[in-house]
Amino acid sequence: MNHQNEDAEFEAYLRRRSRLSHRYRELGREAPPGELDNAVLSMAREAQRIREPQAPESYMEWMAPVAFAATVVLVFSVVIQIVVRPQLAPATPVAAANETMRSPQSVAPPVSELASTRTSEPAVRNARVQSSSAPTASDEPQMPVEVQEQAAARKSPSTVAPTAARPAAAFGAASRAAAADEHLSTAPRDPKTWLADIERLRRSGQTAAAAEQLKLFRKQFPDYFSTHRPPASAE
Amino acid sequence: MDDAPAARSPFNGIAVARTLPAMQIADDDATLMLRYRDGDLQAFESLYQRHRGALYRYLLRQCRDRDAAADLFQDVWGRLISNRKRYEARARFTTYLFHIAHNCCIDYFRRRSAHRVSMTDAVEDREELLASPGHERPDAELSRLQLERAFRAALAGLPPEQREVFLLHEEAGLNLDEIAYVTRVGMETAKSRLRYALAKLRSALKDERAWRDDTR
Repeated sequence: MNHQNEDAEFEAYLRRRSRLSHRYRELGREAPPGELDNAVLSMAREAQRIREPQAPESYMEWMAPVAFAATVVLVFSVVIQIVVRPQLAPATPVAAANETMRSPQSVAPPVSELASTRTSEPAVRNARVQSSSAPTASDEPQMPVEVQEQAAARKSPSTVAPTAARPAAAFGAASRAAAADEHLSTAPRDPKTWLADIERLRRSGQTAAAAEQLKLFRKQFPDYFSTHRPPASAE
Repeated sequence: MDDAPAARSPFNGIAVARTLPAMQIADDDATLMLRYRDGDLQAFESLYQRHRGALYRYLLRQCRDRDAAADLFQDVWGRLISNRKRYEARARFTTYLFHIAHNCCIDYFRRRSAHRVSMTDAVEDREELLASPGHERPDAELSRLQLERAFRAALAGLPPEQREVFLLHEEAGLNLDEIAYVTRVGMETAKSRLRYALAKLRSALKDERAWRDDTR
């Protein structure tokens, strides 16, 4: 019975219907002093006045994706530079030099240079004729090794400094003409074609050059005239 | 009640060991707090007016020192203000407010020694006697004041845990679930503490004339 009373009192207390609650409320309704109210309210006002750290601007939202895209582009560029470009580049420096030599712009001298080297013009012309019938890149391995080395040595200076200062340009043209003559004299050629070229030189009045070529021909093919009839110029 | 569905803590920035049982979430106070969170200062003033007295009395009767109660009062509201941006209305606002107050009281009692508190009790009792000299009052008024003093003394004599659950019910209007949540104990523990508190208070008051004459 006592427990039942206690439970009933407790339930009444929880529903705020107990004598104890009434008496407690009569104890006094103390309230915070006015200074305390002012202090708290000014604290709240101050907190509102001091702005919170600004929320990120709208463009900041794009910073991460833009940075990611930039990184992807950068990485892609580096991969292209490292992997793809070497495959596109010439295989060897010698091949690059040969490419340079074959391009007409690097070989053809300026007009002024041609004028200053008029005396060697026929030789140059012959050289051009020879170069048109000269062996192609695929034929080069057939040349003797020393001849290839000489040709490479002759070609490389012209690729390093194709057009230097103007006074040097005339000398460069002359030397190229001489190189063409030398190439004419040393390159392995068909004997019949060579003799035809020599005959052409002779007929055009360049007897000295024709004699020189014939001399080289004899050196190259010492037994040729023992089985063939020599040309008129050789007689 | 401990197996009630776990709710996310509304007390951002405050360590909470238990989860709040399911309860009515949206109330007017929570709406005001949300408005204050979004920059409405008038909402805060309304909220403050509603709860200032109850909170102050809770703190005053818990620590029984006016200066300390004033400091704690500012501390509670300061914490509420500084955490306003993280406030979410997931529980009654009163539960939120008194949970902060409970934490502030715990910190206060840790800082203060028991000796300091007992001295404060003596000062408060003396102030009460000076404020209500019995020889200037009629008998009925005298017995009422004696009852009031006995009530205060009985309340002060309760163990802190029992006093707290009593004050949370009387001042904050929290039910047992909410009291259990705020004080981080099980609901049965809170109920038991409240029962003990009520029994001790009744026992302390039963000899007072005003209490005996009260027929309510």
